[in-house]
Amino acid sequence: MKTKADYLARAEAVIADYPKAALAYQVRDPRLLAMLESMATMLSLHSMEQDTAAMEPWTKARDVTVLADAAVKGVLPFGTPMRVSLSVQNITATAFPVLTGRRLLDQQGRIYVVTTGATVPANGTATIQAVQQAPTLITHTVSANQAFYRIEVPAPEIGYIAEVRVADSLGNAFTYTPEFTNIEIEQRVFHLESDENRTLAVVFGADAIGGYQPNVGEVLNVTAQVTEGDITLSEGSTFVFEYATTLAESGAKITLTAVTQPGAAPMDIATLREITSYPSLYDGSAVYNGNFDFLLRRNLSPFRFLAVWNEQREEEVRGPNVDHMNRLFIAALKDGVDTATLRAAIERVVYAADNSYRIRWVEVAESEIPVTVNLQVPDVYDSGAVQQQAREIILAQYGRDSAWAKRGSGRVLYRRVTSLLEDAIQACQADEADIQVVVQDDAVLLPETYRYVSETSLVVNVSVPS
Amino acid sequence: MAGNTLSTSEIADMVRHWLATPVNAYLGSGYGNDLKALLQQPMNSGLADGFLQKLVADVPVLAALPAGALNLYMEPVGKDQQRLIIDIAGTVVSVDSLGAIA
Repeated sequence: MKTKADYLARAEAVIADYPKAALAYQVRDPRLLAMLESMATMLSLHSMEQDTAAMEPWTKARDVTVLADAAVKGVLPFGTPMRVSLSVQNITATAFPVLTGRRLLDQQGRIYVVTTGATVPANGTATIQAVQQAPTLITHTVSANQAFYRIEVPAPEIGYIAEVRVADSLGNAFTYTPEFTNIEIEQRVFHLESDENRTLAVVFGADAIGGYQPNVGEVLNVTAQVTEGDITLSEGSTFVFEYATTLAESGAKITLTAVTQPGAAPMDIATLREITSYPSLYDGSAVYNGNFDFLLRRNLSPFRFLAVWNEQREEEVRGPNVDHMNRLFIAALKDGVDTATLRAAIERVVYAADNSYRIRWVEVAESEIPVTVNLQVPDVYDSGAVQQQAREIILAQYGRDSAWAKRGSGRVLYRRVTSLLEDAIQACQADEADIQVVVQDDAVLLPETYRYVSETSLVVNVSVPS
Repeated sequence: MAGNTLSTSEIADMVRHWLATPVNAYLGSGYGNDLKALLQQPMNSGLADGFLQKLVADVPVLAALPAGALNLYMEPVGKDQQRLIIDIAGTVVSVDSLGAIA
């Protein structure tokens, strides 16, 4: 990297060719120098940027690269709406129906839409299902007749887009076909794409190639379902109808009984980094073992822990059995959702991709990895600060919330710990400093163990070199 | 040789450049005046020296002038205006001459 001083030195070397400028330079005339300095600063910033770019082929150094990579691999910035099960209590002697599509509000005024309605009997209760999302409609008039016509879907002011639907002015819906796979000419389909700014766009087909190309002046309606993603509601939270027309409805008591699917914001950079570290996959379906892992992460992220393995991996650790044929072993944990709901969601995703597999659920076993780190640092450094810093670094990399632990089946590597500590702690870069890492790990790693380094299992000793 | 000497008017030009440049206006340097900081301050707060120190630091050639060659005055214009005058070895640079600094 070239610094500002490097560029100024270059300028100084040639300034003698311009006597007037040289005089101004000599007396440090700000009329000249301020400009030269600001140019040198700009060039040094650019030089820094080029250095980062040179690293990009090996590591995704910048967040924007991760976002661009995710966009290319078709990971869309969708939020997941929260799905809830509600009980409606009727305190009057008149039964009333709660129809599908009815809107409810929670205590913060967030909009829920009923997905499964019920008739609430007089003086009785009924259970309904609702989803936390609200539609926003964009009416677009096609302005040009071009192949792969795009309509940008603006980002909502609050929350995230959870679903996009497209229909023409008569209400004929277009089918969402990711990457225009298996479509015919004139088939009414659309594809969604995003970019590194997480802008979502609807893309239509091309005449004579595939899909339907909209004509100039045609009116298209794009409906985006907007959800607020990650919401925490306590059990028994009350809901109200957005509009209550009868006395029975306005007296109804609606309370939360269960969260069937917790909401989630679009994947953050850390998760995207993880997702995009898989090689490009064919249109999101799964064939091989690793594909299923990707498939589940892509559809149901974030997981607390997820491990998916096949017959071969199972027999490596627990020996052969004919029952293992065509079986997929899954161990999964997700925050804020009960096991039955999570398993049902995973089954839905796996069977949609390949229904020839049988799933065996394996309980996740949590296990703490005992790690002892012995640091020798010169006594000019504060040993307490070094110890604390080392703990934070190791827990961030290998702790319970780290991406490493959530992925499972990884070893704590001496090299990784050593280089992390050496890079981040100044005291460990001193000449006499030394790092010794002791990991007491199981010889055989079972795929379902959620292994991490915890506050109690990590010991950091700091001593002075003798 | 005329090219090797700086006239007072050149130095006055540098000061004008400095006065026309708000602080931090150039990327990566703190060059420029912070005139607005003088507003709403007591008359006797002795800010003039600090203001001139910043000028001398930003325009190093002024340091070569003899002591006392650089002076700063404020004079009231009407009821709600102050005119800032910098005197460089007898050459007066007024902020007025740069047009209005709002």
